[in-house]
Amino acid sequence: MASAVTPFRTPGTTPWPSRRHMPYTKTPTSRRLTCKTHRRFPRLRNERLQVSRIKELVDKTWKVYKATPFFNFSYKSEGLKRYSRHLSAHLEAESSKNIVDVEGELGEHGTFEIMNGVALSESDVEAVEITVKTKKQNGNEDGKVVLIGVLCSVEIAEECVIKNKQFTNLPVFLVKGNVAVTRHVINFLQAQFDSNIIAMHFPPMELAWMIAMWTGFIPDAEESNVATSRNIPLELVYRVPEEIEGLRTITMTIRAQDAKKMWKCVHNADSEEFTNEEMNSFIHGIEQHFYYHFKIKLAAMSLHTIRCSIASVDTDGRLKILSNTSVHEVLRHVTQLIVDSMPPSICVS
Amino acid sequence: MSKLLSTFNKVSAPNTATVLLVGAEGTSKHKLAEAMLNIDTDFNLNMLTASSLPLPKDESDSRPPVNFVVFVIDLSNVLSMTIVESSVKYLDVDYFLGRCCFVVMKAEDPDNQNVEMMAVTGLSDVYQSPMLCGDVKTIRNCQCLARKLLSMVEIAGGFKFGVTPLLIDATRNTFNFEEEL
Repeated sequence: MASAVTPFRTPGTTPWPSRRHMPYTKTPTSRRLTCKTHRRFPRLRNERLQVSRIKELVDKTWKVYKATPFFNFSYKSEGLKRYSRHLSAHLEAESSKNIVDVEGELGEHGTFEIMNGVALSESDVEAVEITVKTKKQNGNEDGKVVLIGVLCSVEIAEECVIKNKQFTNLPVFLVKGNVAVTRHVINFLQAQFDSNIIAMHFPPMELAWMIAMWTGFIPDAEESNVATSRNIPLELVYRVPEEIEGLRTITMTIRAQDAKKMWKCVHNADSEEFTNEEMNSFIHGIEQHFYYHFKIKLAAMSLHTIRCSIASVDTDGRLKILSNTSVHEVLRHVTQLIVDSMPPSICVS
Repeated sequence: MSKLLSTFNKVSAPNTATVLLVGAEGTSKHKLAEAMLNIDTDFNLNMLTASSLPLPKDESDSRPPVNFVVFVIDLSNVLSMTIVESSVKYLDVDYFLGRCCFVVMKAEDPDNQNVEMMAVTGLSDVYQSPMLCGDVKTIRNCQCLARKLLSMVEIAGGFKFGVTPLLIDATRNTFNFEEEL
């Protein structure tokens, strides 16, 4: 990380608040590509016998929220059952307040469960899954799932681990469900655990980093004989400035293998880190190519959505992971972005 | 003939100040120029705009000497930053003693930011020139930014008795941005 978190002012600096608390973050000079903790060796807690549920995160369009640390969150089964009861009661109260009759879409039964396989390193806490279902219609039929929410943290940075045992740091909140139920669940979590949950927006610079880094995970042409790799082309959607009439977005599609070749030219093969210069050359290469053919300067537009065979992300905070093998890498990057975007709160004891 | 823009190689018309706005297309230079012209001043104001430096060769020598240069950067447009970075090199060193300024547009929306704020502040530190943030979306903000720029232009044109741009530059409150470019 470029700037370390220091709550004390070192002598010789300005007396007004340092820039670290401004909304502008500094792009790091380099970023790790893969996870530090090797995925094949599960953590030494007693989850070795339990199945990893990480595959459930793939192929769903999640809306990303960032959450401040939770106060007094208990992982014991009585704790989780208690939260489930409270959530169900909260949802029922909210639905009874509804004047407009929403046709069965408002779930009433909430459950909190631990989701195995998501948390990675020693500093991560276990991920929690929140499911909201509609009330059971008949005796035997289970209610329809209205919302799935996953609170997790994947390979969080060492300096952001909270020493105070009363707080649990689960910064990433992925939600799939309709707007009303999402709102109720978020209000419940904010009230119950004294935290603040805000929608995450990915700035265009970060999207450029993502597409530049994740192109490296596309399997090479020789390896892609296996049927599992989907040959999804790289897609970059740029938003055109408002002054230009008649054109709102420009979508650029690149074949996956060509992008991978360019990535290999740009990236230093032995290094686990992806530097700023490599990212700039990759993006610059794409923009130059586009300019050569269409005489349109993509540098003047801003990225809105990126899509590759690993994941698709857009600036409004929607994330869809497409690859089974790189889920941890994607979540790790999202965790890092979310933690960077929040001011350092109670991280240091 | 040097490509550098210089302020002291010609004599300007009496009671006139000339301002040059440099910035990529789409950075609302003309709106800003109109706002500055709409404000009442005691002196004549000439506004020139350019999308990059160096300026094309002045055949008829009718171009007035420029008293003040404003570089406009749009944080959602990477091209504007690269153009400003390359244009600054074509300015004669006289301009960096109080006759130059960086204006940053669209700074209040970090979600749509394409240019790093640290890069802009680094630029301002390296060239030791002030940096203003503003926008031209509402008339009030546009006029506010225009008035700030005009106060600097007035000094650069020598219309304030006893105050020179060098005095302002030497007594300017620098922010000491710590990080290097």
